[in-house]
Amino acid sequence: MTQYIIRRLIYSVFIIWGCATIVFFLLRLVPGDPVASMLGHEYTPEAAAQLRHNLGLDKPIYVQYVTWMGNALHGNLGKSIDTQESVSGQIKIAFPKTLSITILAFIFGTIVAVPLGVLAALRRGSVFDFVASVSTFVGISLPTFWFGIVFILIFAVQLRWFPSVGYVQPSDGVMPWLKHLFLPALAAGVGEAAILMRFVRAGLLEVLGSDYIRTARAKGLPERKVILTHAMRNSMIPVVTVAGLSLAGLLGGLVITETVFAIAGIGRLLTGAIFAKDYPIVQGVILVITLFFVLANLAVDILYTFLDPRIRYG
Amino acid sequence: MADQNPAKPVTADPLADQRLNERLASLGDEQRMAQGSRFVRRIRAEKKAFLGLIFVVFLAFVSIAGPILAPYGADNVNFDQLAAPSLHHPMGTDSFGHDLFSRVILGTRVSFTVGIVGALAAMIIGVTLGIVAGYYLGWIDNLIMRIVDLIWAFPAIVLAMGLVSIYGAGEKNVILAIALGNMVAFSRIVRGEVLRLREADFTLAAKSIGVRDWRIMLRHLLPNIAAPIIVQMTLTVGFGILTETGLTFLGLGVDPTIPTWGQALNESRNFIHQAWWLAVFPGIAIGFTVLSLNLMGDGLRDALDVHNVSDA
Repeated sequence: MTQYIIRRLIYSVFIIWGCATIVFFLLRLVPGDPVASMLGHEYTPEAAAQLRHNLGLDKPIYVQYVTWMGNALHGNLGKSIDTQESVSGQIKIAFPKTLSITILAFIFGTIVAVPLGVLAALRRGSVFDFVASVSTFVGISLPTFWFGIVFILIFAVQLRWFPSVGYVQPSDGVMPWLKHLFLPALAAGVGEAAILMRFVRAGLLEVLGSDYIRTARAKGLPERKVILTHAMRNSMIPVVTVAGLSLAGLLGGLVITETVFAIAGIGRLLTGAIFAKDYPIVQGVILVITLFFVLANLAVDILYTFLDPRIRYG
Repeated sequence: MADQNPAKPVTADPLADQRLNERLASLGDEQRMAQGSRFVRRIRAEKKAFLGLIFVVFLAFVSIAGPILAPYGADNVNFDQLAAPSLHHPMGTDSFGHDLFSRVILGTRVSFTVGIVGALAAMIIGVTLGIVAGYYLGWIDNLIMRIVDLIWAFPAIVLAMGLVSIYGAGEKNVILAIALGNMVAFSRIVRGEVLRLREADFTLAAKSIGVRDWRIMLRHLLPNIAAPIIVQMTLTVGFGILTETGLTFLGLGVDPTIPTWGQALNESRNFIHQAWWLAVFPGIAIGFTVLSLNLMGDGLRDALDVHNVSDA
């Protein structure tokens, strides 16, 4: 198992290096002159030369690559063209907002999905199972940002229970903070719950049909015990994997949802930077999101080996 | 001694032989027809797939006949602005005075086209890479699958936004983003299937009589792995539509002058306190479309007995 984990770690380093390389070339792939594209109407030959120098684009490509990688390793992702502030500084301000919504959405999704999925599996073929199944289909078929708009419409505009947009720091009070996070997290959590619920139901159904469950029932164990201690423990292993991966998926989905709620997280930072052609920020944000994605995958894989001792990796 | 020559006539009567051959040939046809009707029966028995198929056909019709079905033109602004749903405007009007019902109908075409073309491109690239990787193995497989792993590492929407940041917004670039983001799933599925079939008797037999590699891949392997590809294709059109509406919503997708669902939702944010209908109806259109495709994909997966296609 240690060998597997080491191999997996080395592979993740390769993937991260590969992604960083792709992100490095992002700016160089811009058709025509990226500097002219960034400057737009403010283009003068002098300003272009200056910007080219600031971005290091006047050096040979291999020097640019080594310098960029070296800087990225030290957490230096360059400066924003618009504001001249450091990219990593801006990401540091934006990322906690996105991460707090992601975690809250993950909690919402799991709280809803696990019990409903279990109930649907136990009452297979019932009206409840049918309604749950239809709901999961609807949940994965609608865009997260639409749930955001509809929740604003219901809970903020009509009922006035929550603020419709914006974000406050937790230092300004935990309750106002949670109130601002509630609707975006709920919107992001719907899709997450739908996916997770399908896996919980399918996983439990598969386990319930196995021999050891029949044995447990045959020896007269109460049904509660059969489900909770025998079936659930095994059926939850793949669910942990899906849940772990969806944590990273949620982060990706929030890129759009943040715009609905006007929360200045990394999604809005990225969208704004794309409009402003502020490439250092685009590069930095994509790199950070991808890094999170790869690390979440790695964590899930490693967790899996501990959760399921039956699995042996060759 | 047993007859060693299969070409030798079975009977002495040449006419009887011909009849026998005809009968055998028609048996093959009957078998194929029986397989075909079993497929149709399975689809019909699988209610989800059947329902999804009916919805998808209906939506395809709406997307083609949109301009005839829509009561008003896309640019007709001769109505009250932000009027609530009524008999004349079943979905109300937007801030410019467009009839929203007409715009939602006309939006079907854009989303459908972008989703289908994007998914088709993803399928062609992904299947080609997967089949080549699985068939040749060795360094070719290693190279292809490492590239696939790299693309897999980017969340789909982030990859799409990265591409749009390079090449700009617009229909073509959204299609490119959908193709690139979704091809990896096809590659992985197809490679797995090819690995299973590359040592199968029919592949080895074809190789032993000197059939060329590309022909084995195209004529022998591809038809045998069609089922998971069809299922994945159906689901990918849905993902593609979600990507398109998401990007268009952000203003990074299809040209804002064309009526689209994403654009309508984007506008709805500015009038959320006055006009709920702007947010609700385009969203229902997206949901209904993607739901139909998901139902069809999921049902086909059960009907065709495919297990290895990723879940949404």
